[in-house]
Amino acid sequence: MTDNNNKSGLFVTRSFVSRRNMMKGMAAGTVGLALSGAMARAQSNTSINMVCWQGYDDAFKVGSFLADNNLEINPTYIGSNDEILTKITAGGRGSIDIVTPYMGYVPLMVAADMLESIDEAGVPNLANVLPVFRNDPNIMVDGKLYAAPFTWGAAPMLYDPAHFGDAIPTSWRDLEKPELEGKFGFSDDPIGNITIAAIVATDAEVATELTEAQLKEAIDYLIMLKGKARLVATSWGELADAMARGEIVATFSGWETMKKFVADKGKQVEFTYPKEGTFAWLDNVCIVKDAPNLEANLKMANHVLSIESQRMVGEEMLQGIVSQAAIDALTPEAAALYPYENMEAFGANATFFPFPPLEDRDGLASIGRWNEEYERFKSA
Amino acid sequence: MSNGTDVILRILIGCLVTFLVGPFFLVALFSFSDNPLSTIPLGNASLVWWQEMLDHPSFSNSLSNSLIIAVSVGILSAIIGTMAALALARMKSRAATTVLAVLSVPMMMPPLVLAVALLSYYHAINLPLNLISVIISHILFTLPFVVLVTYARLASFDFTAVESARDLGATPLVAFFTVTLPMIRPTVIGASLIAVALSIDDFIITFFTIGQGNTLPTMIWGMIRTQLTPSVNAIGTVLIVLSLCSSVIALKLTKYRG
Amino acid sequence: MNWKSRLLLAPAFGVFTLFFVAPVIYFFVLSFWRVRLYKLSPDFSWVNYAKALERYVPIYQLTFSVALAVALTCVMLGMLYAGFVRFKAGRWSVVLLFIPLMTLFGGYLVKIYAWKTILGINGILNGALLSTGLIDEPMTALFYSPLAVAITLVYFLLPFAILPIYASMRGIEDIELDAARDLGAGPLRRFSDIIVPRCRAGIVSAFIICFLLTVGDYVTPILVGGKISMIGNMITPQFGQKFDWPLGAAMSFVTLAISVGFVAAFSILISFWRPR
Repeated sequence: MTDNNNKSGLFVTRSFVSRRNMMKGMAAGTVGLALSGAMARAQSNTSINMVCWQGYDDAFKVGSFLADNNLEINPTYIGSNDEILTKITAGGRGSIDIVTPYMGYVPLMVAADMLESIDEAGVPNLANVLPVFRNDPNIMVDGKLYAAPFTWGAAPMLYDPAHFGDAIPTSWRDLEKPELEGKFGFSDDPIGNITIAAIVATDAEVATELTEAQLKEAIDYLIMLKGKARLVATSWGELADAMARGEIVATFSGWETMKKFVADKGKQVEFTYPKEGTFAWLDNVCIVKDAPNLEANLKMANHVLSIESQRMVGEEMLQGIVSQAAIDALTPEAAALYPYENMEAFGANATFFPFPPLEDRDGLASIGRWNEEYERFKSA
Repeated sequence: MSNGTDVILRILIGCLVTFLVGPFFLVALFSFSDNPLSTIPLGNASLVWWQEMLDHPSFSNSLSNSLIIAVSVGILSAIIGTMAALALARMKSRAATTVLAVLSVPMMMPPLVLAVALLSYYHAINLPLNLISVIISHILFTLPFVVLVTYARLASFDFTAVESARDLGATPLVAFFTVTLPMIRPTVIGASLIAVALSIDDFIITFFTIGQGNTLPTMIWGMIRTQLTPSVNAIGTVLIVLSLCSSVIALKLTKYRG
Repeated sequence: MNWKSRLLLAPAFGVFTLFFVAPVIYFFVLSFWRVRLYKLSPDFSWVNYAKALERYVPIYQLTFSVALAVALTCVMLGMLYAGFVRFKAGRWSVVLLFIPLMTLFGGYLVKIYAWKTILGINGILNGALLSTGLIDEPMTALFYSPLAVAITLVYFLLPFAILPIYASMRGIEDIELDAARDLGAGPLRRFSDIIVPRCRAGIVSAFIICFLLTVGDYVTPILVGGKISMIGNMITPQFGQKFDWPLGAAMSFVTLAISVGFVAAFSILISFWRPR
């Protein structure tokens, strides 16, 4: 938000509060607020509505880019990926510019006609993106690019070292042990949970391509595990909060940045990628259909792939980055966080799975069936 | 009644009072403590969460959205509600009660059902979701309160003064503004402040009908779901104080006695 | 009704018709539609109702048990509190009445959030119990449980129960109770034969408000319920990730219908409560 807008907002608030004559104040206040609101909008920068994870907006604020282009960001933070879809369907079309879904949601959002395709010529920094991310099958639909990948990671298990001592968990199956009963938590992430359950408890070769039987096995496994769990948190923030408050000591699935969330509350937790493996995620800048500021949005996608922005994501947010030029410039500590040198080695532990099929095909359960079966887990 | 049961009764009531009031105090208390988990021990007195609240990128925007919505809802439901109450006061009391019951149905809907029904309807009629759609949605459940309270006042209102004004040649509008309104003004203001309090506090309906942007409650929701910090307590305190102030004034003005 | 009254009522009814009746009708129609590839397509199909009735039986059971428990608790505590304010509190009655009025408005989310700090494993209640030596290790059943949901909702809804009950108690004259006592009626008899029948309207509206608000609440289970889901938690995803607005609409109407059933049953039961 620019100084300009900030000031007018504060001025309006104060003058409202200090009115003595409530009735007159109320009448004048509304008109005044409405007018000054409109004026502030008219004279200030272009406001970019963004629906994203907390902190992702900071990646766009690096350097003088926003000021140079007379832009400001108005972020709405999400607690789970599906809130992006909720916000777009609930009237976000025509007002939201940018969203940051994980790659799995991109084909689904394209099918639902929610995304604008990205003109690659407008995002020259895409050329720096590592091929493994640039060629992710999810982000291209019918030969058109719908998402600019900008950060990645894998779903780890978070654990409280104070509880585990030397016996740190190495397997998702460790959560089944009686001593952890009532001491671990889930996140309410349908696709992530089913994927990990499929890795652990089914013989599926690709954990997102499940037959009906395998899907049922995975859900049954999740239900069994839920019976032992303390909590199914509806957002990563709540899961982190439960760890910080000592309600739980381990998690089924997770997000690396949760370590930072928990640390902010004065507690040290660690994360590990269990030996069975896990899913990797890739978060993207996507432009919403009918976005009001298409030109600016392309520039922003380009900016978030710039060396300075990417370094910020890698060094301060502790997330994986995608730009080769920025990886080369990372501090040694940040570069050591992820196996940038050897992405294949990372692949042994964490896999970028394709999205579950949009429609039932070849005996494989569709995403619709995943969601339906997942409700069994929710109701259990 | 014996003394023994009296003592037990008093203890029970004491517990209920603590139950009702305690959490409010905790919220305010924790907003001034530097404990990042909002647990005991309390930690040191600190304004750090208040600072964090003020620094939050969407705080000033959420506050002004909340106020724009609440004040508009207050004024609009006062105008529409008073008009309806005036009409009801001229009707037979049975008919008036029926109309009141009908207008109160939206209050009886679980907010979630009302919210998703409005969302799908706005979507179908292509009404853009913004502050205006929120204001309209809020009026649905604040209007019955205003009509109810104002009608109750008008039911005991002596219309002879209005009639004499009319006899002296005042137009109905003039009679309303010079005679009726001054007499019922405290009630109308009070009723609209109740509407303001309801509007400021609404979360569920706002969440589904606002589209983009935040009010204080939806901002708190976002913070609870992302990174929960005790600045939630600070915003909560602001929210409680705002709606408390408007309801205290409202109760004084409408002379509510149960 | 003359034309002036009609004119004065027009805006209120305009808002009511355009933004309540029309949405509810549309929502009802929508509940028969289908979704194809994330787009709504008009249809006339009972499949959504079949799904809404079949799939969520355990959820309805939990939701309505919690709602019944919460509403009945609120009515009973509300009777106790309102009765004390009306008949026993004397000069304290103004203050005691002020408390539920003040807690009625303000801070829906904050009120729920506050219970996290009270009931949690390191919460205030556990802390207090531990330090007094009443328990040896923190109680975990208090939080992330249906009990936590019920406690939080009773807290939030109690003022909504106290106020209508108190309002109906104001209609009872002291002289009636005194007369009953003079005729030899004990406190229980006076309560069941005079107070309850005279408060019927207040009790019913307290029950309705508490019951319906509990049924529709989806925030409390998320924040303090831990693993449990209520029907609201299954309806909201239909409007998000699951993209199934028609199913969500059907679930809403099924929930409403069952709720109306409960509320009607309660009103009928209480109407049988007559002085012996």
